Amino acid sequence: MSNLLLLGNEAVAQGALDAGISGAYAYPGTPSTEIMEHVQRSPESVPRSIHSRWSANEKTALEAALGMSYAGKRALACMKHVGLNVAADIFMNAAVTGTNGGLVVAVADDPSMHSSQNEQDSRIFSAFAQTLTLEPCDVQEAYDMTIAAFALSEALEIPVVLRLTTLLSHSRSVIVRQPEREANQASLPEDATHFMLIPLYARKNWKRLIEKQETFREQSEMSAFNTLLDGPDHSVGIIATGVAYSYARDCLPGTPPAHPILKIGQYPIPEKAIRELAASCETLLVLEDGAPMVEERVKGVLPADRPVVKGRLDGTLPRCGELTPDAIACALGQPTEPMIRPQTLPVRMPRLCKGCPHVESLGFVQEAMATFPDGRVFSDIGCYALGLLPPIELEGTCVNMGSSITMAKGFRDAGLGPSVAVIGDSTFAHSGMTALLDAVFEQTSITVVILDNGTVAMTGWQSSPVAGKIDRICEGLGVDRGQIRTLVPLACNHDSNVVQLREALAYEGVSVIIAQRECVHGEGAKR
Amino acid sequence: MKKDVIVAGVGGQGVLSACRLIADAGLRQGLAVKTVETRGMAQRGGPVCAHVRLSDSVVHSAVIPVGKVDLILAIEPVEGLRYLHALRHKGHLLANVEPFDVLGESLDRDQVMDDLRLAPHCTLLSASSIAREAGSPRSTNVVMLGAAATQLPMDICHFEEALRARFKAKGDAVTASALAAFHAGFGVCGGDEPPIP
Ligand SMILES: Cc1ncc(C[n+]2csc(CCOP(=O)(O)OP(=O)(O)O)c2C)c(N)n1
Ligand code: SF4
Repeated sequence: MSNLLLLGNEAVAQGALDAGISGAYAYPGTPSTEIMEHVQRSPESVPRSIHSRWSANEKTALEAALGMSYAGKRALACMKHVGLNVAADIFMNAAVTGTNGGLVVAVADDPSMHSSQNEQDSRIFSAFAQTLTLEPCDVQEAYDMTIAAFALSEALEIPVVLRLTTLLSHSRSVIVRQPEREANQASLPEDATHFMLIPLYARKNWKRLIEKQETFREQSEMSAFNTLLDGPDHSVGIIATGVAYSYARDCLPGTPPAHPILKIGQYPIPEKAIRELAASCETLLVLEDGAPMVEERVKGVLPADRPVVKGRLDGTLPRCGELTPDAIACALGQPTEPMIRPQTLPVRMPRLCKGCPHVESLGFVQEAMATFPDGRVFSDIGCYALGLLPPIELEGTCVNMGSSITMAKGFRDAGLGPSVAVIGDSTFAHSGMTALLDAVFEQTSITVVILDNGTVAMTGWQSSPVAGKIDRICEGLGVDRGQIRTLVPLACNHDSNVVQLREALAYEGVSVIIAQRECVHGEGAKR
Repeated sequence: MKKDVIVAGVGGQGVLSACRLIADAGLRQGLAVKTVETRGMAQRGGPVCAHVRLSDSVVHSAVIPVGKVDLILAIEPVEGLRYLHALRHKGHLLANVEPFDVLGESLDRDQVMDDLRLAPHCTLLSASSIAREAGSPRSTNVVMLGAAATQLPMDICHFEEALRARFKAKGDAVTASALAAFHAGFGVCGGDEPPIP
């Protein structure tokens, strides 16, 4: 046991290791990636045979984690918020089956969308699945809560969601560790019907999940993560969750703070504690990063008129974007300092690296498509999405992983064309293969350009499970051998690449172009 | 005592590394430390920033509120401007004046320099050149760290230890050139001459 300077994500991983996990399962995605990377780097992972290879996507990751839980061992699944959409089916149903070995799902939300498509709040998803959620306020609590989450999961036989946000995931501080727990020995579920979601048993298990809710609520009222810090001035009472609690303590320093602060770290919300605070306050100010989830629920448990509930819904705090200490200080009516405003502030956008293979690939796609004003390129998520920005400014799309191929198909089904999908190798592995199967099945005339840079570059060069076998996968899915062209995206090949793409565009049916050249940081490709 | 620092620069310049070195030196000094980092973009050339909070009492939030920043350490001049609004009324801006190439061409350099001087206290240095002269062209961030050391409450030995720990795996030559870059930055900003190692 030692004290370590860790990122929030690393603290989650360390907590899971110290809680005695036998496996971690994840697909990378900012801001969650460092959880798995810490497990992979930890010296104890190898001697303890802890599973730590990347999965093809979040769904396969969570399913494997549930399989490990079924075997009686503890498993951690990690993903970013939109990853939980991909894993939604298994997530909702794992709540119904419940767990055998402890199962914790660490989900990192990205308010302000630093590197995401939306700001969805996983606490709402977790409530929808009727599981139990923990939300840490700082790095130490991220560690402690991970350990507590495994204990709760095993005691209540439920997957526990650990909800993180970008800011916490990427905060760093020293943590104090707890004694390590032994991993579980394998043991099969006592009642195997829990995992049989055929109607006969599913109804029984669904009822069991509903009945657990009362226990979850009781646990929340008793939880050491839900605490009231009283303060003298009850004109305003504060309810703060996650990192918002640390901001509130910053704005209201001192012990006791000026106003009472109810910290919420465990969900469902502690209704009794909220009613008690409300009884003595004229106004409640709800501070939370993400959706006004607690704010809405607080309104639901209080009488309509008193106290007044303020937060993100009534405009006291901004409705979207990361919550900041500044917004909280403003909501509390604290004075602000005059700001220095520079005359110039150039916008600086990230760009594709010098020598990036995607620059050439997007270049030949753009040129080949230039003669087709009604044609469209449907692109996907990865480094190459930067091609939508200057200087390339490809007129494409970026919606969710894998959608390039299926959107291209739908566009073609609508009678327009040529229709081109541009997708990275890892995104293809994640959710492009079934999309391609749909197109092959109907022989839809689309061209799929797979950018094979040999790695998951966007999130830090993780290994791609399809590296070196994309052509065989496409052939196996039914693409005509003659319509799978592999080329090298280099400036010297530009003209011949344009010609090859034009040939592919002219083909009636599914054609695939594999643009194969390593990311210039390819040496960094790992695991 | 508390010091709130923003380290700002462009992807690939070593902002996070400078942030961790400050944090490490702070811990060696026995201070409470919290940081928060922008992470996750593999591509080069986007803005990167880190907050470091150092205190001899408890630190609650890792985020520094606007108006509370004591020191901005700008490894790139335009990135220094980006956080000027957050500086405390007596705050200090330490900036490398050599812009990162992507914006370099189109930049009104004189305006940028004038804007940097809006900071209540401002020290400008040619950190990239200093790094080159110190024989360590990729150590602009470490030169800036040396400059920052003149403004931070940690003893020099703690910065040196942090640097040694950081570069240990890369061998003695790399460690020595990092220490040289650090002392070059420290010296330029009026720090005492380095002790003979
Ligand atoms: C469901 C989901 N999971 C994870 C992510 C995060 N993410 C964005 S792009 C990407 C992978 C990109 O890899 P690849 O397609 O190979 O392109 P590259 O970045 O290597 O060019 C990941 C993991 C996401 N946006 N959505
Ligand atoms: S990290 Fe690799 S794939 Fe991403 S922009 Fe840079 S060279 Fe291209």
